[in-house]
Parts: sequence; structure tokens; C-alpha cells
Amino acid sequence: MTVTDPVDRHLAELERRLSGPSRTRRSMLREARDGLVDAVAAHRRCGLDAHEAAAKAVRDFGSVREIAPLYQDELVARQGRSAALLLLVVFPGLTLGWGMLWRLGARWDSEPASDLVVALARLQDTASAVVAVVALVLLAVTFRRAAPARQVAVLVSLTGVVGAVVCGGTGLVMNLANGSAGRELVEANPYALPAFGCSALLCALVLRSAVRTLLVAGSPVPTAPER
Amino acid sequence: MRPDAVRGHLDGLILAVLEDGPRHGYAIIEALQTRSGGALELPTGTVYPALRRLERAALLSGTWSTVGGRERRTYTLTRAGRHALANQRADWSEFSAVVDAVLRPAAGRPAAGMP
Repeated sequence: MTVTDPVDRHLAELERRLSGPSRTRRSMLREARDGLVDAVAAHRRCGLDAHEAAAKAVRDFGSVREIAPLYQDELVARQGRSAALLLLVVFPGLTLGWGMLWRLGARWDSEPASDLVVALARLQDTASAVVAVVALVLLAVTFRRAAPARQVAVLVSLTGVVGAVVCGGTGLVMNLANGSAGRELVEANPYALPAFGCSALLCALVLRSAVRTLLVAGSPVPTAPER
Repeated sequence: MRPDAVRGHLDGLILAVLEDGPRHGYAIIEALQTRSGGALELPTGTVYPALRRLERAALLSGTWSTVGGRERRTYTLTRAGRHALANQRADWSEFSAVVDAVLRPAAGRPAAGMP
């Protein structure tokens, strides 16, 4: 279809340069296509033939080298925001969930917890709270138009990695330090096994989101307009 | 007008053309060109990411809706957007008055410093 060829080519080239949340990316490209189709129609009303109208619409749109960094910055900002939102839900959720489990009568064992386990539990709670606060601050920063999207996304990723490693790691060490208490807890409380599974899944989700955000934030894009 | 000169003011210009009511992307570009008398030579592709940036900052709300039989992404100025526009206007008035006072030829300026 020769009429839309320049538009299709331009958008395909733009799409190749972009990485980030697929829903936002698709929506942005669809909006760009709508705008280009409108521009072609407007140029045709002014008397240009189909190919000239499409070529002019593409020229007016700007080169991919010039436009792609603007699109990519926005995609990075959106990726950083959703990663921050995930941290804000997961870490307080884990603290709340385990708190409920203990209130439902779960116990490690009849003996008082060792000093190491108590210290690790405190560290886990503190780490969760710190991650949630940092995520909230970074989420608020994404509402600023001038916020450095890449730096914010990297900070969100690092916060997620540290949170998942500290909380997941302390959970693991607590279970090992308590000997068979973990198995006894699972046998005694029907909610314990889903809670362990859920916690592991959420930590994995946080790590996956952090890696994806780092990749999007680090994606190379042209920074200078072509001459 | 050079695109570089416009870029720093693009957000304010977009907020201003949405003051009258919701518009989709290309209608915003047309309104910018019409209101500037065709003097804005900004690549149209810069407007769409700017709209998303303003939406992210909660100054605009954007939704897909049917306009003229086609699905379009339509933007509406939020309350925060109106507030930001008012601030931008005040800042621009102050800035342009200062620059104008400095740039004005000496003959048009009131005499100062002499008794």
C-alpha cells in the first residue's frame, strides 16, 4: 500500500528504537499513527497526492533520531513508576500478611525465638518499611515533569533488588536457624505454606521487575538530532 | 520560530490550547499552529510524548474515545493543569516584562539616574 508506506516505515523504525512497558508503547505508537493519518488527510485536502502527503506528514513529524529519545524517556518514566508501585504494594503487603499469620496463631515452636531470629525479624520489618518509604518518595518523583526518568528508574530497581535480597535472605536464614520449626509451622497452620509460596513469588516478581526496569533505563537511544 | 526556542515552553502552550475543552493529539497540533499564526515550527512528533508527560504529571487526563467515528486519545485539562497554566502565565508575564524592559531601545526608556 503505497499511500501509507512512508508512515508505516517511519513508525516501524520508531518502534524498533523503543523499549518499555508494552501497553504504553503500543498506545503511544497508535496515537502517533492516528496523528500521522490525520496529517496525511489534511495535506491531501490541500491538494497533495497520497504519497507526497504521507512524505510531508512524516517530515513534519520529525526524524526518528530526534523523536525516539522523547518517547523513550516517557517509557522509562512509566516503567519506573510501575516498578515503584509494585514495591509499594509488595513490601507493606508482605509485612501485613505475615503479621496476620502470626495473629492467626502461627508459632515457630513452643520455645522462645533465638536472639538471631528476633534480630533477623526486626531487620526484615525495618527493610520492608524502608523500601516502602523509598518507593513512595520515588513514586512521587515520577509525577514531576522534569524528573530524571532514567536515574529514578535505576534507583527504583536498586531499591527493589536490595529489598528482595534482604527480606528474602533474612526469611531463608530465619528458617534455617530455627531448625525444623519451619516444617512444624507448615504442618500446624494451613496458611503457612501459601504464605511461604506467596512471599517467594512476590520476591521473584520484584526481582524480575527490577531487572526489566534496569534494562529499559539502560536502553541505548540516540541523544542528538541528526543533521 | 526555531523549534529549540519553543521546546522549553511546549508544556505551557499545550495546556493553553486545552483550556477551551478536550482535544485529541492532532487537533492540539492544529490549534498550536492556528493560534501561533503558523509561526511554530515544532516537529509534530514532539507533541505526543509531551502530552504523555503532562498526563503522567496529572496535569492532563487522557482517554481513548470515539471522535468523528474514529478511536482517538483525547486529553482534558485537570484542575492541577489549570493551576499549572495560571502559574505559567504569571511566570511568563513577569519574565517577558523584564526582558522587554531590558531589550527596549534607550530612546523609548524613561530617563533615569539624572536629577
